[in-house]
Amino acid sequence: MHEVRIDLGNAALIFIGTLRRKRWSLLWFAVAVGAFHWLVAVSFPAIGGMAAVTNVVRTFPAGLRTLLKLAPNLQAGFGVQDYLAFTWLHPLFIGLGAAFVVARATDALTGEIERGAIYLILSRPLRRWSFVVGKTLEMLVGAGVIALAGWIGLAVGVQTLPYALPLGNYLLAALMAWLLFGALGGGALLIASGFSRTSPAGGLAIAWTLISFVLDVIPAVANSPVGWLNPWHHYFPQAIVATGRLDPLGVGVMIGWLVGGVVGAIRVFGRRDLA
Amino acid sequence: MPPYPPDAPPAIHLENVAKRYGRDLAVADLSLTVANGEVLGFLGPNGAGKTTTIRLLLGFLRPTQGTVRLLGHNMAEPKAALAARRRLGFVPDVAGLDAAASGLWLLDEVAQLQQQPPVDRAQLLSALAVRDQDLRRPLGRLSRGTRQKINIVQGLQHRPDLLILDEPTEGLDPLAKRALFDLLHAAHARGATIFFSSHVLSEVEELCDRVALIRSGQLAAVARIDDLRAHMQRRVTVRLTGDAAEVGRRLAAAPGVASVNGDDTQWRFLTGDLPATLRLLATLPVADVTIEPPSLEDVFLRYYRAEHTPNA
Repeated sequence: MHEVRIDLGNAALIFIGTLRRKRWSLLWFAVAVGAFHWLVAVSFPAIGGMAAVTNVVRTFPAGLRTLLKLAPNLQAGFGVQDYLAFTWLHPLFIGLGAAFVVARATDALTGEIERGAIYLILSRPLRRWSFVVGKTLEMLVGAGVIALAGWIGLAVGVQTLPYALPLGNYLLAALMAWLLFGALGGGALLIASGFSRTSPAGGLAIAWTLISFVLDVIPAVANSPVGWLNPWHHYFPQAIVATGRLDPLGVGVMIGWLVGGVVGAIRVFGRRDLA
Repeated sequence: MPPYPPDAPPAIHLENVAKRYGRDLAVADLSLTVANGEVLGFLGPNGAGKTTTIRLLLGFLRPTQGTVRLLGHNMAEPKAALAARRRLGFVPDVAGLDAAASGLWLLDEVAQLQQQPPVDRAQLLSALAVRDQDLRRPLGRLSRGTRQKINIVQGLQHRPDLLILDEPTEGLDPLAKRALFDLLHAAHARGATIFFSSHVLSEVEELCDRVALIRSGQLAAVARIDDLRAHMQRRVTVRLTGDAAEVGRRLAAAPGVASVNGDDTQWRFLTGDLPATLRLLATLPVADVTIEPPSLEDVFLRYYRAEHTPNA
């Protein structure tokens, strides 16, 4: 028990140390995402309001609506609430979030090996799993800060609009975005744990985020018996904002990818040669 | 006084260690023991297997065969490896330091991870002339020499029993090198074991009791520096008072003498049998004799030239 406490303490040290060193990059990520959500909200009247957006969206072909996960909500009309929910699926937002977790996951394992910093840390009485857990915590906290910054930007921005919007539901959408980033980060950590060079690890981790996204918009794959395993399959911000609740299966799949990825990374990283 | 009981296991014990990457054998059948309190120089040209050996020692690499023990702990067993690392100080290549961290953060963070108080930090910083303001700046903005000084402090600040240093003088100015050597001599005097990997022969010569030479992943020699020298040819210069041609002929015909060259006033040659050469010189018209002891560089060149000689 005493040893586990020491290991958890070491994980906390790695987490705090990494967060401290990378705080400025995290801050700028968060500012960018917050500013984006704020801008989407405040610019809503400038683009012609609800009528203009609805008309534009109705012209989208069915395939594009599927790609943008717009189809179900269009049946009930596409309003400002849906428009602002869509910001949680905007390529800029999910691209930034996915890039953040991929960058953090690959830097945490392959980057540290490539720079040689890992030898400075792991020559101490520190188990490798503590190191992976510490790095994972930093990635998760960072992804959480980014998702929260998006919600804060949105919450500030909607104050300028003459609509009553369910900000609590948007917070749930931000929570689901955080879980999605965690799931993608878990997969990226697992990929990175097997590499010693950042380029191939980063490339494969980016491929994992993109391919999993694309697979979910191919109906034959998305509707297959294994389609539910894809984290993107459960990421539906408009539904969350409309209903005000999270799909438990979706939350479970996201957490499953995160935990499975981290456990896999610990096993691979714990047994491999560090060179 | 050394911190070890007389029956303590050796500080480093490698037994038939091999490391293979696919078909490539990076280290082959390496056996080496470093006693407690010893200072061992670990020499080899680039690509000889120095870094692989250090990574095997620290448990970053798992040997394909054989056993690595540090301070009696088998590094293949995670719990034992942790116990060894508590008493270990490692000074890696300076490139591994995080450019975004300040020196003070780094020293505090690694001290916490080491689970040992940094009892010698102030003394080390003072000896290496690291200024307070340098400790508060990001490492990426410091000169290579200052980063290397901080790197040295992180490895020594908790007063380890076993020090593993990988080319620690890289980037240091002569004053800092001198300070480092004084610190290492002091560590040795209090009983610490030092494994000093370098390609700077004069440093190894000054600091180390023994030297291990690695070549193509295999130990080419492990011996006291004096013993290595004793087996090397000495360079002899004789100043003459008589017939130079006759002296040249007799030297060239003498057993153990090689590379004879000279002129009317002096001859220079190498001898592998100093007593026989001295007996010969006593019979020749010699005014003065200079015998140079072989340097570690001569030893190094002898071992590594052979590597590049066909059929050596």
